[in-house]
Amino acid sequence: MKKTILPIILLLIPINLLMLTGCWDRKDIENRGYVLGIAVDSYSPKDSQVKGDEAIKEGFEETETAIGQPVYEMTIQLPIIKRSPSLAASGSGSSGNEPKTWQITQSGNDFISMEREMESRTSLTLYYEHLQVLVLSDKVLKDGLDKMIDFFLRHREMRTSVSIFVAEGSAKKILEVVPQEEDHSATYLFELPINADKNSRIAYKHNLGEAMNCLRAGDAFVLPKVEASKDEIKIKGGALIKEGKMAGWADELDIEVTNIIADRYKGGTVVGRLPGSKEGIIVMEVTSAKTKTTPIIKDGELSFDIHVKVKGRYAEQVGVTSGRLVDKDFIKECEKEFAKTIETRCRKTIEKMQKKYNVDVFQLNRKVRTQKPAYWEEVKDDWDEIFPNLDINVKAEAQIELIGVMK
Amino acid sequence: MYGRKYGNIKLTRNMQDNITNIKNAMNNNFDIKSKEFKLRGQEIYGAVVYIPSLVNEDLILQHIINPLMIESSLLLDRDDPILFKTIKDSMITAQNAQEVESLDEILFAIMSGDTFLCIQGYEKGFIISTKKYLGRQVGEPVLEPSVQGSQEGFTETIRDNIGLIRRRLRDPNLVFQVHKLGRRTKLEVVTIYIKDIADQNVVDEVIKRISSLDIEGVHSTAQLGLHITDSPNSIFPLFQVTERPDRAVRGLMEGRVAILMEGGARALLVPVTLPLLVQSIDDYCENWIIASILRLSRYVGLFISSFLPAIYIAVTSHHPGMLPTILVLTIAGSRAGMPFPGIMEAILMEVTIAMLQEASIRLPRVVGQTVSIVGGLVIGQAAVQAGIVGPIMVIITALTAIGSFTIPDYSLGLATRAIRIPFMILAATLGIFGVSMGMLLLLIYAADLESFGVRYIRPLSPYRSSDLRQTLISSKKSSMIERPVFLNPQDKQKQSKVKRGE
Amino acid sequence: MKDQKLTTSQIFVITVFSILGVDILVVPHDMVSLADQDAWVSLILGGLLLYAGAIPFLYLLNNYPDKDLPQIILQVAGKWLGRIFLLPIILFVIMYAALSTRLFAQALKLFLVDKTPIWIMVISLVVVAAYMVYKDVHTMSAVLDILFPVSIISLVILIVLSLQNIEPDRIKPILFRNTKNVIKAIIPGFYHFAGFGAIAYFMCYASDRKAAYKSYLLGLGVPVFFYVVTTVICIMVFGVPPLKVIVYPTLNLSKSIEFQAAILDRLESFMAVFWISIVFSSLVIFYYISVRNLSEFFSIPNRYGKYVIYSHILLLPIISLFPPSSLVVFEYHDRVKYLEVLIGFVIFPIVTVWAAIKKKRGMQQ
Repeated sequence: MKKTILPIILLLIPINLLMLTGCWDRKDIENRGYVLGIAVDSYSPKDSQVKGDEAIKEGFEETETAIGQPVYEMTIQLPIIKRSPSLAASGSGSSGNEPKTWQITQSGNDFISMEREMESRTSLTLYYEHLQVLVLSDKVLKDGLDKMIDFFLRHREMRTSVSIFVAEGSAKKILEVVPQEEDHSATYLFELPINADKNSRIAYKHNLGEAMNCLRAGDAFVLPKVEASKDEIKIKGGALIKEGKMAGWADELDIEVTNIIADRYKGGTVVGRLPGSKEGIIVMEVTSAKTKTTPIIKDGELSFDIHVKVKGRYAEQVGVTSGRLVDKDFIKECEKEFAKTIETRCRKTIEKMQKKYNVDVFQLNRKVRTQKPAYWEEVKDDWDEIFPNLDINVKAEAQIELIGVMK
Repeated sequence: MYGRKYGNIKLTRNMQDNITNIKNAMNNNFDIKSKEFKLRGQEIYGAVVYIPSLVNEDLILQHIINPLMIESSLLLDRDDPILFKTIKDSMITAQNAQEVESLDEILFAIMSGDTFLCIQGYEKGFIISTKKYLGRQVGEPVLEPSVQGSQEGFTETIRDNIGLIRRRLRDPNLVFQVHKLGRRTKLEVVTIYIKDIADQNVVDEVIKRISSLDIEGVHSTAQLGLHITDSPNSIFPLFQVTERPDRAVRGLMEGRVAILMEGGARALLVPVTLPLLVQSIDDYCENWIIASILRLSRYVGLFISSFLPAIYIAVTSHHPGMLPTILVLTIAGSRAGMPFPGIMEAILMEVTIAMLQEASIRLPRVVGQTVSIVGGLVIGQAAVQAGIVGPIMVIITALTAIGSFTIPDYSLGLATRAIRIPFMILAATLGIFGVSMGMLLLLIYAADLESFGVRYIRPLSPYRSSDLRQTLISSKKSSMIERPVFLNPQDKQKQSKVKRGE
Repeated sequence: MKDQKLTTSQIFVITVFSILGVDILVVPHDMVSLADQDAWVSLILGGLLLYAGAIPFLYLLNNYPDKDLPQIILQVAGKWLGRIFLLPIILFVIMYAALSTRLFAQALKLFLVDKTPIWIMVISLVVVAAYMVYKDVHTMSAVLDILFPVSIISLVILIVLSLQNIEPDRIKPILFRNTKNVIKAIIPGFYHFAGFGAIAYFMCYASDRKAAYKSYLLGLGVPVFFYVVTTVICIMVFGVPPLKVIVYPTLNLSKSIEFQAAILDRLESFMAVFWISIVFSSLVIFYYISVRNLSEFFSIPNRYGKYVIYSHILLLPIISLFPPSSLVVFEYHDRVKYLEVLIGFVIFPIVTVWAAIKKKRGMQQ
């Protein structure tokens, strides 16, 4: 009996200490500001035309910088949490037009100071665990993604699954969209790429973790680009990032090819000419695809063999009044036609990337590094010169497994 | 029995003196009745002393007074030493007659409902068992209802209880050992075990603890349990209290010791371990898959009722990052504008629930219903509407209460209630880290407990697959043939195979 | 009527926990910094080295069946030389325990509780461990028995769920012009298996020694397996260059998992809870060892043993809170491991050989 008393006292001391000194991290759930989205623009001096409330607000947005001039403008999106009306004691119904989000903008040259400035404008403690998207303007990217991304990678609350998008022009505009379905534009934007297996024109790599991997390894990659209307956001093409800076835009078809070559092609459509017809178009719905990229060294020269194999169903024929009977021979022809389209399209994009931008967005260098390490050791410093002149052979193969309910 | 005071007083030859002595010893209470009579045809006087409320007076008339007064034989001679033996052997037709000499024994016998027969001129008398068994009929178990099991529960009468066990276990090796307990109450306590299964060490320990008890008295079986438990400070029950004879029998066959007490409508089963307390008798009535799922749901209930409020507080007030975004916004929305912090809210609800549970036990059954409806529905609804308590907290509290009702053992359910608020405080100070530190403390605490030499968390440690299969999940038929080894059953076959402590 | 002996399975559990500790959080980073994508090869070789060290060690234990390590050393090497041998062990154990706790507290601060001061976490871990050590070895082993499945299952879940994020290419090329680094990293790989000697303090309680040896050797394999697999997975998920800068890759690994369709869809804080059980278990073992060491070193009789336990409640937090910054902690944590090499490759062999010679002499006489 006596034996148990001493340890109990020893245990009670720290527990009492805890109770007396308080609860460091405790913050009730409704008192945190859940930052759902962050947009980063480059700083532009405010025009002094606006008056009244607007002017006051713009005054708030300026941060007195200790060193240097403001470079960035960060906008965060906070959901406005109101007591749900069904629970309110008084039946004052809320009108449907109340804003559901609050965008706070702050300018400055480092992000943590901007964040602290924002804290002085809201009663909530900003909390980033639920951050969904990071929207960067192309200007920021051209200035250098690697220059500003550190805050987001180092922050203890941000997770690597945060999606990154690129906006042409103002990134803040994207967050200001009031979406039709979702309450918050950030959530809306975050969920958009989930349809990637239906539409493969969305760049597959778009999160903070991937960005960090590529930046650290010095690989080129592509970030999805978004455009916005008042109540809609669309993913349209992507921004090519090379050595931490934006090198140019890729259109949606390029993105699709990138996905094919990276073996991340989950589904989409392949279009071809109807065999033996001038106007007719046949469409294949891809259900699965497999790409094999093999680096080949022959006589000291590097070349690539890319073998694409897509499987899918014959989905549609369009532009002809009565199509041919879909039989074995016809399917054979179609398969050839589809393979041809894929090859042509791949070649086109590869050419564009090689000659126009010189961005190894397919990350072929990784293949060389992992599969031909000896060769890589020799060429790793002049990959920029080698890549544009690489011989890349694309061979595609299409296989139609289903033809729908009609022959 | 009653100490020196009466132990030294012996019977005298004078019957009147004896009766006066007895009455004096019992403070001349009005309910002590003595009846004097003359043995037929002789100048020999006899008397019976008894307490009418405890005895079956018919028995006394028919089997003592009637044979002695009317049928007593002519053989009786004054001063004949055989006389006394003759009375015992051929005259008293009552079940059981025992010779006594000391006042001490007589007093105890009278108190427990026997009759004292005294014959003039002898320094000894008889105690004749004439107990009247008053008490409830065998009824349904109230605290431990079962779907498939028997619907009989123990009663307050030890004789009925022994019968209930005997009827289910017709084994000659079933041993009953009687002890008298309590300096004043002097109640019978019976330890029951199956001689060739139960671990002799446990049996010896139980008997040692019961016989070495020196207390005024106990009124219920659970109280007796507290007196003989290994550590009375333990918040976990270190003995199993059951009102189900079938469970007691089950325990006996597992090699445990059952303890019954006069006046207590429960049996104690020792030793017990935590996993055993989560078992229900229904487990044996179902297919092993179903039974395992049932048992698993009870473990979940145990976990929820102990830790759910704490985890909720920790997650919402420290780590909202653990929850999906939509859920966080929903909870935050439901809590927006709440006057109290989450921890206060939780404690408020917890206290309310505790009060409701207490109230529904105290109140008569009819009113109890009203209280639970008023408490549960009206107060809860009103509190949510008034914005004092969030709706999610109401759900959490309700889940906690439901979880605690899945635990078959009542005391274990109370234990979860006891640890809930400390865990909530830990959660509020240190978040999930605090909760896990608390869990570790609780685990160490539980692992250190012992119930009659058996570690409380066995068979979770050390691992032995057949034990785990039988206790954690309900196992397949084949392994049910084996007895759980962690209780050290004596069963010969097992003993040779498995060493102790294995 | 307490349990008299530790069963074979309990020896296994103790072995696993004595090695599996806070190192699992940093092992991928440490090893990748040294040997790039081939870090796992070094770890495997380090694991082999571990076995090489463990087998002669068992021989030593076998000669003194009812003694634990400090007692053996004192008996073999005598009162004074034995104490000199014991000194580095004492230092290593106490430093390792303290610094591991600090390291873990830092990780917790990063991933769970941001504003809570480190000393609170260190002290609560140490106090709970003290409570554990205050109970006897058997209770300790019973607690470890329960924590074991929890820890292992959580590790397995982490590994399985990480599989969705892996890019197997990242581990290639295997052993390309990297052999030198790989060999250099073997010893640091071995460092991470510190604590394999802990069993010397528990073997004297084993019920069946032959089987206990087997389960010890088997148990050594478990942490080696998990360290190697975690490292491989981390390389495949993060790639080599990021791994070189991530402080707690294993925690980041759990942070990168999106576990859809569950109440807790973010695993990392959830996982942090399970790390607590792993780190706590290893802390408890080291705590116990340290108490035994000091008791023998100062020949403290058993009845005063509890004061040695209490003294650690002060000692461990003081050491662990001594380094001023997190980077310094890592540095110290690495340096302490040099002691491990001294112990593993100098002291243990000397004592073993000495014991063998003594035994031979004893037999000749």
